[in-house]
Amino acid sequence: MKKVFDFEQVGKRLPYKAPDPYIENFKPDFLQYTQRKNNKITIRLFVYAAASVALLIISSLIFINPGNRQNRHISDNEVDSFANINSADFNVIVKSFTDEELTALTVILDSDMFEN
Amino acid sequence: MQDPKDEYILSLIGDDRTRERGLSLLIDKYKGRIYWHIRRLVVSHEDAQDVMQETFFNACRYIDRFEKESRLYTWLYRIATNECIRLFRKNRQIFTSYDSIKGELINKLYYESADESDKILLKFQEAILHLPKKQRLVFNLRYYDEMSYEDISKILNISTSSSKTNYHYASEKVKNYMLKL
Repeated sequence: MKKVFDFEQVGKRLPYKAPDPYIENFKPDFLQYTQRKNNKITIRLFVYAAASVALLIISSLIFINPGNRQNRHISDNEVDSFANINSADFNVIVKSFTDEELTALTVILDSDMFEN
Repeated sequence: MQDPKDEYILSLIGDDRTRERGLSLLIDKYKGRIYWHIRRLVVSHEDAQDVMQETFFNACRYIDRFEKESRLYTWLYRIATNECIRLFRKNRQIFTSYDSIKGELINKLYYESADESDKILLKFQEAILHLPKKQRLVFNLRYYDEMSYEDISKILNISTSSSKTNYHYASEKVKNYMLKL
């Protein structure tokens, strides 16, 4: 005879419980969540500001004085130091964030509200 | 005591003098159902606490945007479900794929379960956690909350026929999983 699973065996029971007074005492913590939302907005503004500054610097390097750039030979040392400045700056920025802020930052940068 | 009607809660919220009382009634009426909906999706109590806070924070914040022709509980379930999905996306940064999240949820299931838990209950939850995300959402809403397919379709923003199909496939998969071992 073919075996059949009967949902009644399980019903609506769950294998876990809520700590006793949790649901009864639940109230949204508006203060904490307002602060958290504000922190997220601050981080987002910081990222936009940093991106705008970087864009300005790059644009000025490319467009403001293109003639000099064409005639000028960029030495290997200059290239290396530019790379080092970037990574140092990046490290300073990264170090200034807490783990929680970095997680929030990656979520903001990678989030896509319409993704399924 | 009988739960206050949604119309009454909304009328209190609509008046500045009674708004706080209305919000408090809204939270008291739905916090239990919403908690268990969230808990079934995120499994751990710790995550459920965070999602509960976000859900009711957003509900209170955006209650004025609630359209009176829809039902209050479907609106709250929708916010809660979206918050759970947001948590999965956040975790996907760490676990890289939804399959890894499933694995993590199953680990949490065994870790969080009460010691005296029936083995069949654990296996049943494991079967549900193995479902694809949409099927799992539909199955939970239909099986545990006994929602109509119309309400499920509103909460998940899918068609009614898609709700039915997803529930059918999910039930079959759960049955087969339960017979496997």
